[in-house]
Order: sequence, then structure tokens, then C-alpha cells
Amino acid sequence: MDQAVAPPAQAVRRMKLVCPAGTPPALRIAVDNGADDVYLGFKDETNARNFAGLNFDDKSLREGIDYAHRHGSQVLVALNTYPQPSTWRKWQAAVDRAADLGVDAIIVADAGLLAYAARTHPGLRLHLSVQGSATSHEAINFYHERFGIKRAVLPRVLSVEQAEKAISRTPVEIEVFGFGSLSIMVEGRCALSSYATGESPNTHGGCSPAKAIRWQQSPRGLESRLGGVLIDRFGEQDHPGYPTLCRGRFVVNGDTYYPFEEPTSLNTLELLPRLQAMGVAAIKIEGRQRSPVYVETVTRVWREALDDCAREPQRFRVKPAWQEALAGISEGHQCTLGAYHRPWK
Amino acid sequence: MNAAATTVRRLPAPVRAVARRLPRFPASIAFATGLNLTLRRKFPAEVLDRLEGHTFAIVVEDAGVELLFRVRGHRFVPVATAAEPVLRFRAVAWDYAALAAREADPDTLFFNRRLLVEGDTEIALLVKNTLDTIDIPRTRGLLKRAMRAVGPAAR
Repeated sequence: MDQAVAPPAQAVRRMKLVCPAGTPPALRIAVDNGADDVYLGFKDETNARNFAGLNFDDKSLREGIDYAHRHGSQVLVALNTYPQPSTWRKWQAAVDRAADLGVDAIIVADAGLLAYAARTHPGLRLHLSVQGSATSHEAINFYHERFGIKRAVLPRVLSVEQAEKAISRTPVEIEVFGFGSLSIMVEGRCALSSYATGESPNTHGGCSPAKAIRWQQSPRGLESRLGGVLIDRFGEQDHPGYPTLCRGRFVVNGDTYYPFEEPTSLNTLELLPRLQAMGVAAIKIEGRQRSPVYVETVTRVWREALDDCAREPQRFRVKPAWQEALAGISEGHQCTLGAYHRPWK
Repeated sequence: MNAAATTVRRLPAPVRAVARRLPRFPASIAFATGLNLTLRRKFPAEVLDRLEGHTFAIVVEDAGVELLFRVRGHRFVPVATAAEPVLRFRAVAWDYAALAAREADPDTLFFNRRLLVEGDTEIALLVKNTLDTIDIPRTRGLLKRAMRAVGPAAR
């Protein structure tokens, strides 16, 4: 399992653009602006963006698949939370619904659910979710051998060198995050927010469930609380971010700062030629919770960038207009390369 | 697109002066009527059930106006006063128009402190996400044209 595997044929082709959709208008806008794949979820805790009013029922998903297919795009359904013994049938039924509706692939984290999908719907394409936390080629190849996954989404904790190593040693297509809010934790394994909310994002589908969030203007500034815990306090000039514990500002040994990570967004535009040369098959855009306006902006920019990169990778330059457009919709108004630029190996 | 995120545009001073003198309740009546005409039938019944009985406040900061309405019997009903609305939104008129026209991203306005939301976050998300699912192309087209027409005056 450890020997080098030749990069898959698609490694030399242009990378696919995988865009988020929380609503039918967002799906159509992603398709209209050039998304190759659009990923979405059902209206329940079977996906990791289980927010009120968001996501798709059977009717809107059927219409969305029809729209996407008519315009040459594919629809991927995220079933990327972990069923429990008492909720297993709900997740199982979600796999069946997705298959029956004719989705192009499902994005799954749980090994049991992957086994069920592979056994029950052998023609259904399986992607390993970032929530599966496969950070090595050994892990990815395990899912490939056991369940026949065709693509794996790498967690946002790997350096470029680590991602390159994984890609070079697996026949599975690799998808990496290109843009969006940044998770610094090992996805699918992080239970940090459950200490404040009593709910794990990996089983309930939300890192910071809305019912636990409170925004309040106080004399000392705009305060965000999660489950009663003060996450941050923003002055007039501060830019608030999503209230998650990992991006909270806390007092540590008398100093007040962001001990984990400041509110910031991942933006890997400048890495595109390298990611393409490494054999990355697809670039994922985070943000199913965001509006159609966000989806339009980010899809338009990334479509143009990916096309430029595929055409002439040696001459690829990040256009200032792209950066400006993306900075305008970024959380925290700061962009970072995340773990990709870390020196760790 | 998303130009609304870069520049704060306020109502022209004469308009602000007039708006601040207008009686409040008729403004709430007009707003609730507009909601009933454009959005009521587009809102899913289960969402209106969830909003039933709750009062909402829309503060138009540059106009000095607070629009108040309640959801009752699946309709938007104007109210004169509300001690504790379930949600209170604060923004300038231009940003509300940009949101309604789908020219601005609500999270971006929020990150920029240009859209303030106080109250029940779950209901806020429900409202935001429901509005994102609603297609009203003709109304949005009219709004966009109106924004282009008055844009130069809104600084």
C-alpha cells in the first residue's frame, strides 16, 4: 500500500470547481457561473450545515439536479455527519433518497454509511468527506479498497508537501479546499464546540448551532456568546466573525488574544499552478451557509482563475480584481494560505 | 456585484430630513403591506408557523425610522410599538435595498458592521435563509433599476 502510484489521468487535466449551495437560487447561480460540481445537503442533521431554512427537500433537489444536468454540472450530496445507533435509519434513508433522486455522488464521512452505500447502491459514486479526516494516503487507500471511493476531500490541516505526498500515492481523485471560512481543527474529530453547546457538530450538523448563539450590543462593544460563553467582544473598528470557539478571543495568562486562530478565510489562488501540477482533481469552495451573492462572486472568480491556470500555468498570475472581490466577502477581512504554507511535514 | 460592501451610501440630506419627520406607524403599515404583496405567498407555511406571533423591527438608520410588524395568521401585520421584538435589524436604506435586490451579501454586511442583528439568532438564520430561497425577479429587477437611478445621489 505504500508504494508510489502513478498520478491518475485526470491529474493533467484541468481541476474541477466544486461550489456550495444552501438554497436552489445558489445552486442555479453556481451552475450559471461555471461550477463543475455543486454540493449541497438535505434539510436535517445528516449534513454538517444543518441550519434553519437552509438546504434541500426532495422536490428542490430533484429540480436542482435537473437544472445542473441540463447545463453540464453535477450535483453532490453531503451526508457527512456521523449517525448514532439510535439515528442510523435516518442516515441510511438519506443515502437511499440521494440515490433514488439521481445525484452524481454522495460525500460521506462514516465508514458504516460508506459500507451501506457501496453495498446497496453499487452504481452510486462515493466521495470521502473532509469530515472523514483522512490525512494520509494509507487512510485514503483504505477507503478506496473497502468502499470504492472515487474522490477524497483532504482536511485543511495538511501542508502542500503533505498533500502532494498523499496525491502521489493514491489512485483516488483528491479534492482540496480553495476558499472560504477556515477550520483549523481536524475535521470530523473536533468536538470543541460541544463543551459550550452540548452538541457535537459531527452528529448534529452544526459547529455553532444558532440556538446557542447570542449577539448583544453592550456598553463595551458587540458581544458574541455561544452557550453563554463569551466568544468575542468587538469594538467599533473590529470586524466580527462567526462565533465559533476555535476563533474566539480569550484571556490566557492575563493576555487577551486569539489562542487558536483569528477570524480569517482560506484563499489559495496563488497556489493554483502548484496544486494543478501536483495532480489535485478538484478545488472546493466552502460556504453552503452563505448567500447566492457570495456563491456568484466566488464561483465567477474561481472559474476564471482555474481556466487561466489550465490554459497557461507557467504564466498564471493572480489578478488584483480577483483578490479584491474575494476579500470583500471574506470572514474577518483577512485571507491566509492556512496550513498549506506550514513548514511541518 | 457586491459593491454595496465597499461604500456606505446614505440617503441624501433632504430625504433624511423629510423621513425623520414622517409619522412612524403609517410607515410600518406601508412596509407590512409591501411584505404581504411581495413575499407572503413565497414564504413556506412551516416558516410562517415558526414566525407566528413574533414581532420584528427594521431600523432604517439614515432615515431615523423603525418599522415594526408582527406575523399573525400567516400575514405581516404592522404594530405601533414593541417592547422586545424577537429580532431587530439595523442598517441604512441603501444596504436594505441592496440585500433585497441581491446586490449585497448579508454576511459581508454583517462582517463590516453595516448590518446589525439583535435577538434570536435561530430565527434570524431562518429568515435570512428563507429570503435566500425566494425568487422575485421582477421586484428585484425594479429595485436594481431604482438603485442605479438614485445611486449617484446616495452618498
